[in-house]
Amino acid sequence: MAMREKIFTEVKFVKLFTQKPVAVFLAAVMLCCLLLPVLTACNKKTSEDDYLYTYREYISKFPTTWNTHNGTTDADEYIQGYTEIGLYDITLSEDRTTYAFIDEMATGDPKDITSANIGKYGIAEGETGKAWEITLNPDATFEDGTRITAEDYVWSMERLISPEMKNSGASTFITGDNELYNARNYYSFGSTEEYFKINAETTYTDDEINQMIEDELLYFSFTKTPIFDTEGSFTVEGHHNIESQKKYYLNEDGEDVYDILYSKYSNQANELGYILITKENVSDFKTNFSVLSASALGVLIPNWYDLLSVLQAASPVYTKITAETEYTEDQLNQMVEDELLYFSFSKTPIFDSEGSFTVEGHHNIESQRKFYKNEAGEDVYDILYKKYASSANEYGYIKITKENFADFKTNFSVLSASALGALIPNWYDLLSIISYEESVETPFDNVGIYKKDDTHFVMVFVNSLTAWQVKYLLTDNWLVYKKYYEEGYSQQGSLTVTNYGTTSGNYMGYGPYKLSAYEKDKEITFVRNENWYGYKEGATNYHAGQFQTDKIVCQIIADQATALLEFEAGNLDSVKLTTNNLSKYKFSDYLLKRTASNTWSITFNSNAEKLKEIEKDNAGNRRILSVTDFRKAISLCLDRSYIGQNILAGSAAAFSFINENYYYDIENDANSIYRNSEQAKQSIVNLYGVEYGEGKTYKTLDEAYRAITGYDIDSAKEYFTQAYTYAKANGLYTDGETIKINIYNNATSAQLSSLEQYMQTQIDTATKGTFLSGKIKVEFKAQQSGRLESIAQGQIEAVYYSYSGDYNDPNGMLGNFTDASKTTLIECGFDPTTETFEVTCDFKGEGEETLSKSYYDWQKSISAGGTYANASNEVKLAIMSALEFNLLSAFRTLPLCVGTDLTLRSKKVNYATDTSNIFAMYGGVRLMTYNYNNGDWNNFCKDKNNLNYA
Amino acid sequence: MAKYVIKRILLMFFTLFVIMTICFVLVKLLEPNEILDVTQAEREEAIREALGYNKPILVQYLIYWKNILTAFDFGVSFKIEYLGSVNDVIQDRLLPTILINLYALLFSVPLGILLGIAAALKKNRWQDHVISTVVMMFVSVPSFVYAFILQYFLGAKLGWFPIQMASVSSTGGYFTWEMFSSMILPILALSFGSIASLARFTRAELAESLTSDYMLLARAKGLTVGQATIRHALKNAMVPILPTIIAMFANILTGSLIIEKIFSVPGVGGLYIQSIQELDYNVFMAVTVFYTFIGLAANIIVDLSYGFLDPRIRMGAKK
Repeated sequence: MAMREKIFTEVKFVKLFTQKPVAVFLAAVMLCCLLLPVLTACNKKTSEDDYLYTYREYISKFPTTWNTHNGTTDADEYIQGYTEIGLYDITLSEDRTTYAFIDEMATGDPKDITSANIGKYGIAEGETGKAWEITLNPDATFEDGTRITAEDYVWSMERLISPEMKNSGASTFITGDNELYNARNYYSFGSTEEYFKINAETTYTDDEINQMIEDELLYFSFTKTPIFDTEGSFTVEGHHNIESQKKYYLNEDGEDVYDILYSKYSNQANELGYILITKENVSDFKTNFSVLSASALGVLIPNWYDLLSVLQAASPVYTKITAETEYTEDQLNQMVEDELLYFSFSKTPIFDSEGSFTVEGHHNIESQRKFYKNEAGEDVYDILYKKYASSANEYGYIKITKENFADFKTNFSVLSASALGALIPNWYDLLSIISYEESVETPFDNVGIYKKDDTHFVMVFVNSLTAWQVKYLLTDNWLVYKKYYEEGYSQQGSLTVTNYGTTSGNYMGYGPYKLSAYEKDKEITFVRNENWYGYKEGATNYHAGQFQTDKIVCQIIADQATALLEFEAGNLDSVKLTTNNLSKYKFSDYLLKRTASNTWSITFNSNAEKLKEIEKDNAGNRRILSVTDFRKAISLCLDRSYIGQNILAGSAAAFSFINENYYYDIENDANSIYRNSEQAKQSIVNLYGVEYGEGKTYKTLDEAYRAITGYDIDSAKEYFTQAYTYAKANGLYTDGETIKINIYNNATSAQLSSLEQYMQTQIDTATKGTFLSGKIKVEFKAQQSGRLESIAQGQIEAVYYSYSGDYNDPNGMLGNFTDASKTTLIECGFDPTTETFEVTCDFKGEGEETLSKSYYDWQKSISAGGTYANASNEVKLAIMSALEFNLLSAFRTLPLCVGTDLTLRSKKVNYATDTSNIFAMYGGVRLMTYNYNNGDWNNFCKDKNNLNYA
Repeated sequence: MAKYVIKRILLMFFTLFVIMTICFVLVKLLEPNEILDVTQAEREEAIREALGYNKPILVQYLIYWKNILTAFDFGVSFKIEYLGSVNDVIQDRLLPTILINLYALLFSVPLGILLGIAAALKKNRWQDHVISTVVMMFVSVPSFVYAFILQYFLGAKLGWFPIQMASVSSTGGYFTWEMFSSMILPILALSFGSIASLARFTRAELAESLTSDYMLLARAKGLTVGQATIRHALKNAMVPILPTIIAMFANILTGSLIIEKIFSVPGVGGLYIQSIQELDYNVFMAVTVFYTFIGLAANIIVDLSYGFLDPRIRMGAKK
């Protein structure tokens, strides 16, 4: 019977789909769907903000955090661009041709008070430009109206460079030219002691516990101690807060043991949140924690004392001996005796500079191996590695003992005696000294920033800076809102993090706009921050006639095609264009073209031995890439203008790493574009062998420079032939072999496929009729990470990438290709520390002379602290252009196109200028004006013909 | 039957565990993204160290399981939503995805079935040829192609519908008319494929039923063509079709990466790829667990539904 009922029910279920009411429902659903277009077309409601000026834009990715201390992506910085403003800002000059500084959160120029600080902060007599006093705008407030004081800036700086937070934004102030005095030490410092939680497996007798109590080693923290031993475990407090877990805390009388202990002892916690276990309170902790151990949690907390922590010395820190430090033999012996000296193959940096390769990493670079050869031709690295690598401790360090001391000395002396000796003068410079402090203990009070009064604070830098440099630096922000910042704290392992600036509710801005709506992955809306001084007549730094925009609506649109449709429908006021859109908008009056500081390039591995290793994949010959003529031939095949216009979004052709956006003396000359200098032009003219002068095709340098295309298919053919002959003669190529060139980028794309196709066609054309005809195969491949490291070590044959740099430091850009200590040096087969070239110039104002130095030394000579750092611009330009010429003429790196940004602006808005300035762009929202308010614009858009931008 | 269900569920959890293990190991094997800035790299390393990412993978996996089992804690996101719980990362993006998929289903199921019925009833006539041609086109062309066409013509050119999905702040909520109208284009783009496959399936099943002996019997006992079709042929044809529809319902939680990208739907579609690209391990694992679970559960439901719909194929049923 039951069975029959069941079958009957199931049959009814099937019937559902065949009965009349269901059919009617289905029909109704379909009818609705068909009517929807008509209904929605009629559903146009009137906007409420017709009289406002709203700027509607889009970004492709939603910001994850706009906390200025650790936001890293462009999207992260997007919100700050409206809601925060620097002490100074950069805008367009009045005539709109260049840039100008403008006071914002500060008032008046920074004041150099170095002379008033002699003897403090490492400032010596006669120095200038190290200590700067900033006067705050007295009308500056957070968006809730709270006044911003010097204390806020100092506190925010402490958080920024805090060792416990390790914020990525700290880099501005702990390294490089803008390093604040002692900031690095403060950032790197960690406590010499740490609290180690007793884990479940460890057992102690009562006597041992008592002894630890006597030695004041036992602690407990409600907020820091993890309830279980695992990483990422809840703290005791966090665990107790979970309602379902509270039952474990109840003792026999039904009392909550957590609450008992908390009410008694939480106020006794030290500044780190730990309560000392004493003879007086131990029984209390024991009784109450035993409740937890006896509960179901006992499996994970078997002993009552498992929730306590033992105060111990921190993990050892190995500090490398620097090149400047000198030790006598006796001192070294003493350190050996004290067991202080260590060495690590995998951890010790080969040079003292930040980001240097490790000894192991450096040794892996084929071109560098020659420095490791002793007189007998043996590799000293290999000798030491074979003997001692296995004796490294858990941190990877080998202890230097009386027994192995001589061995290390003998072998490291080979490195010191080599060309690397300039950077490793003493054999012991590769050793490290063990300590249990991460750095010199530096209280924040000793860091170069302090408050003078509510409206003044002082910043003290390690290096001398000019007023321009200080103002430029202070266009960046580090100010955060203390209350929300602290409320957002949480512990991730040993790191303190904050969720400040991850939602609109835990963030407080202080710029011209404030967040008014925030919808994850969809839309961000800003409205005027009415508390901002810039809008208040009579306030300091009131900006009359600026910021006409009332509201900014930013949509998150990942697909550029969708964004363009929205723009064409009048729903966006600007849109980024791609190469595909250019055919339609190439001649548009609303097209804005801006070049960035980066240059897209291809770098080839030119190390024959390494290339031979790659050939083991049997995909084809690679060694021919080590022939300069071959690389030059590839370069001459490429019409960079064509690539720029047709493949890479309308970019300009690039003939060097340094494009038109780099200034060699921006502070004194706003037009000091390096690329426009005579020396820079000459280097490119020389590179391509273009002649000029009387009786030549080109009369002047300018004419010759403008005529360069870098494209000469006939010459390319000749160079391919020469390369073939050379390669064959030197065993680098055998007739009939296919030559495979894999060029790695972090991802593949339609754009790169076009580039691949173009390169293949060009190479095929150039090799036609030669022995290499049809033999060269180019392919772009994806390697998401590590490709730069791979090519530096010679593991791959080519990469596609771009480097960018500071607009005011063209020499810094060259440093990417010459500084052996930088990870940006990726030209495998090139050694900038040993290869040299000559520069002829009037270096000292005493007449021309010719000097020879290594690439590395030339680049360093005009960097901060270098021999010619304070030389005239002529000397600097001569060195930079010579360096540039010599780097380019090896054709290891082929610059292709300048990074370019194409934007189409709507008819609704006017930018302050259509010619972008690298510092102030198009004038931004500050100078933007409107042709229509929202209501007028809606009317304007009703006629679709008005929205034609082609 | 109960024994069979229990067995399937246990197997489902075992499969889930295997997939989780493989995914965990594989994603941890990916090299961290290259960071050239020294301080940023230092912070990244500090975070990796603090979060235990430098420990052996097996240890990390055990910790991961321990956190799930003891606190149902799947961790926090560091890249996609800084310090946001991974549960929230998924939850916050589920509603738009569910809505769009659900609307698409409500649209495509009746239309697909009706087209299938029409084609079967008019088999080999011009109506059948028209429907079959349209169906073949819908099946063959990927959904993102319709998406672009719909967006361009109905959205941009004719202006009938918004080009992309509207925001809650501009419409006042997910359940407003304005929001619904902005979802129509993605709904249509998602529907065409389903309509086509359902229509094709229904046509094939119904056409077979219509030629069965029992239909002859039904006609012989005096039923009209319509009565015989609805009461007998369609009922039998629905047996294999209904599980397909059930599976479609189970999959409404999964987003379409491309459709969501084209129409700017703030859904879960892109979460998987993004978590791999940015190496947001916890999000990747949570999404893996979520979708694997849904996929496996849907399979079980579909398999079991056969038994409910057709007693002849019920597992463990007594004869």
